[in-house]
Amino acid sequence: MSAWTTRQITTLGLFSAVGISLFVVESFIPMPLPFLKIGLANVSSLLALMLFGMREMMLVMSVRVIVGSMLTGSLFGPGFLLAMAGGVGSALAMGGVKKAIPNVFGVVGISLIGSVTHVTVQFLFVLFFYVRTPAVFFLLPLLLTSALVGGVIVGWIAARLLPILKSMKIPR
Amino acid sequence: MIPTLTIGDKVLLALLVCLVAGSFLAVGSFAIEGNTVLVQVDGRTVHKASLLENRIFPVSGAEGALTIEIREGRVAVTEAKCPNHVCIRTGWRSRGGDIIVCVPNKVVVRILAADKAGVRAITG
Repeated sequence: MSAWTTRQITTLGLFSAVGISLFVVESFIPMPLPFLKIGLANVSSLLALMLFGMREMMLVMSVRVIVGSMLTGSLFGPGFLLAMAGGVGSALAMGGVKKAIPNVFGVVGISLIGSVTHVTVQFLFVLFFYVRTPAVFFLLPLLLTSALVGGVIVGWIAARLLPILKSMKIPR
Repeated sequence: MIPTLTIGDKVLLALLVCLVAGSFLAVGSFAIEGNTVLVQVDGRTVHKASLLENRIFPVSGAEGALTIEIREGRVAVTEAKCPNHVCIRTGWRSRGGDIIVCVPNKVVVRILAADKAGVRAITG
């Protein structure tokens, strides 16, 4: 369980690369507010979860955040910390729910759990560690809406890709 | 085209939509949260009080006296010398922009929207 085969490492590397690319590309898409994202990179980590497991998902997500932050120039900045917090939190939530109550949620549901957790963790981070004023609550509806929309889109894409990848016999 | 949604997915989606809608409503009421009570008689401001301090004070209207009470961040007219007591029936108000009116007495109790500490502090 702890050691991966070479094929698995390669596959996870590809997943990470896809995540990084999506992350960087998405950072170029202009949005009215900077933190409103669809989170396309989560497609790759979500697929990692569905095809492998929580540890692999955590790995892909961490690599994506670190390298992605390097490429977008926000490594060790507040954006990086927020992305890590959101990423780890959402990964824990997604993996946890999938393990605790398997088959209750489909790919879209897990993705929604992830996106909402991601946004909530980031919001709480900002509230308690950065701005510290209740004024940020005004942003909550927008944040939640983008989490809802993003979660559905990411889940939809992942759901469409999952059977294709499964038929390619990605090693577990 | 549409991926299969499990029952759990659909329930989650419905719950989240309600949550998001609720958050809009909740923040909407806060966005104009008032913190000052303004009492005007016949167009003249006779009283200005903070919504945060519990107070009970009388106001002289055109026909008689009203009693206004501020308690727990809300304001209401508790007594009034007027025929229909519409002002009393308006009940407790707390949102910015809310108004309690006693027409015979020409009394208007307004809650002013929050000032600088409110909406301006949004960071990106």
